[in-house]
Amino acid sequence: MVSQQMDMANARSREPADKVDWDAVYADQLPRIYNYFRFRLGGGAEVEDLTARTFEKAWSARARYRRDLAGFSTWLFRIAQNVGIDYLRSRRPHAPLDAAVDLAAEITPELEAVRDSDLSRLGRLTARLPEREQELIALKYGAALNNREIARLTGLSESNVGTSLYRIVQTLRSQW
Amino acid sequence: MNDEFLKALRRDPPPQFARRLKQQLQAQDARAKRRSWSLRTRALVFLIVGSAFAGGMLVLEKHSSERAEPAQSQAQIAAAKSDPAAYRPRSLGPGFVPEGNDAAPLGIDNAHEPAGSPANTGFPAQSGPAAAGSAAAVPSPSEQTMQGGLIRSQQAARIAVSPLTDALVRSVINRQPPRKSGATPRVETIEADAALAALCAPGNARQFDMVVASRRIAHAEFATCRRNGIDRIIESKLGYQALVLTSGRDSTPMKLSASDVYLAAAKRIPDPLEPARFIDNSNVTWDQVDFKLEYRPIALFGPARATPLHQLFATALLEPGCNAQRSIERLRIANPTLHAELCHTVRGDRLYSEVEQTASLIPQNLWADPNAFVLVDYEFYRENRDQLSASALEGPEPSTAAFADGSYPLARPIYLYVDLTHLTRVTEAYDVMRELQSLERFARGGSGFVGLEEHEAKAQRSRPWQTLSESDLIPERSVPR
Repeated sequence: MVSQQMDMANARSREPADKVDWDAVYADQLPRIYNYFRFRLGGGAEVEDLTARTFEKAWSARARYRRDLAGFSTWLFRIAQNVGIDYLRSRRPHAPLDAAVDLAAEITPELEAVRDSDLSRLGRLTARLPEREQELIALKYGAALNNREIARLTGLSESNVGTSLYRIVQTLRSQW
Repeated sequence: MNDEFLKALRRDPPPQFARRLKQQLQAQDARAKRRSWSLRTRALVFLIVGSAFAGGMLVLEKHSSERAEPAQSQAQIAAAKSDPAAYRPRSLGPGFVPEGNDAAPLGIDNAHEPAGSPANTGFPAQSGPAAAGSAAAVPSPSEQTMQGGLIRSQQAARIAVSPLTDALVRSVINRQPPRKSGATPRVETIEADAALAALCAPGNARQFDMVVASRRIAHAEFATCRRNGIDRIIESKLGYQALVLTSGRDSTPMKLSASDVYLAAAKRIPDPLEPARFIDNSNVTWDQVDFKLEYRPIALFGPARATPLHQLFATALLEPGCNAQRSIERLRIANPTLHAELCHTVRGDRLYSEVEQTASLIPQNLWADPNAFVLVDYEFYRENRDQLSASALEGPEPSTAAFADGSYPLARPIYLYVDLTHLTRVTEAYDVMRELQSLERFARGGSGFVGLEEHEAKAQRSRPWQTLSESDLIPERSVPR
């Protein structure tokens, strides 16, 4: 299914700008953006909010999108990255340590169960990685982008992306 | 942990979220369009008002100068008689200097003529009664805006139509004689959810003046309208669109579900052995579709692809049948394009054939193959009832009563919603509304249109201007979308 979607997106990227089928683009890209944020944030209620924010921004700016400058998914993921960065930046001033202790004491069995899910476990592990590596994981496994697309978004070379991902997965595997 | 494990952590977005977001985007789209039009309109209005104001000032100035001129001329004549050199006609400006005595200023030589005549005042042509006449011929600013045709404070009506009613509404609009204003209503095809949301958007974010929908406005939608201050909405039920699945009079009776019809008519269906895979439809007999059905070759005649009837067939019969297949239903949110393709594409191997609803349909197709099923519109079915068997679809027989209560699955109501406050702001909106309310007069045969029952039509006629209230929406049984 994912490869079929990628093929459709690639086929569309060769079309002129005025022929973009926005409904199809929405259907293709929504799961990818949604999963990008899931992986980036380790799940959570804000995933839907950030996905919606990304699409709203892209939708309102779609007249300005230029096919000659970037593929649609590259453009959309740039917006998603910025939305994610803004969000993480706003979240960064953490609560004071005392509050953190209080929060830890409030963990309920339900919350425990959620935390124990694979994704949140992965989220906890990736949170220890540098930003760049977290981004690579989210783009590769959340957004299902290929190494070439990731290279275009991150400014790394394609081979560097492949090598980095391999190392990151090794690291995560050792800590799992 | 490996690639497969990480990829398996992906999830599809919740369907409610995907649907809600799409509606938000469509509403945002509608708002943006409206805003852009609103900006353009404002710029145009500003231009109009500016030029009208300038024109008005010019006319006023001319009028005042005409009134002042005779008196001024008398004084000028007197002054000129006493000191010709001191006189400077106003029209020539302060820099005018007469060149010697021969170059007497205009008017001096004609001082004996009655005051007020153009020659006497020295202001040729433009002043005096004749000029007043010409000033009167200059249209007033408001006349300029209306007569010039360039400038209009009103807009052409904008009508949102659901995909099902699209062809019907366009055929009605296009069949009208040219309008006096020259403003042709704009028709845009949009899903009813988004159209009604746009109609009820607050303030100038509204994009549409009228909505023609294939369902009634929901109570919650109307509540939203009221919250946004839009509480003068006229609702008119225009009729229905209905299809009948039937066969020749002498055929063996058989009742089919929407799922059966889908599995018989669709181009691609889920593989029975592996439902997540889609294969070309290989069913050739009805018992292959469902083993409970009898052995009988599949032969289905349906409406041509580009017709409203085909749209109705796809929406009201194929799609519900398609959604009954669990593996396809999941695609509705995840991949709407693929979903639509799977649900709406009919097979091309002659088991499904397109036919026209003509007089030869029954003798040529159904008499030749009494086991064939055919999809015809309700009017055709009613007219040829003696040649056709009962409806082959599970559920009640088609009738306007069954359409009205929503129990017949192959029918959709048609509702018109008009924001009453827009009627005054939109060019010939009232005419457009009346045309749509008279859909029955203009709907062509083969459109699937069915008029209201007499008592319903009478009730509609008795309250053409009655605005909708929340209590109107409660007793109505919800109609399937």
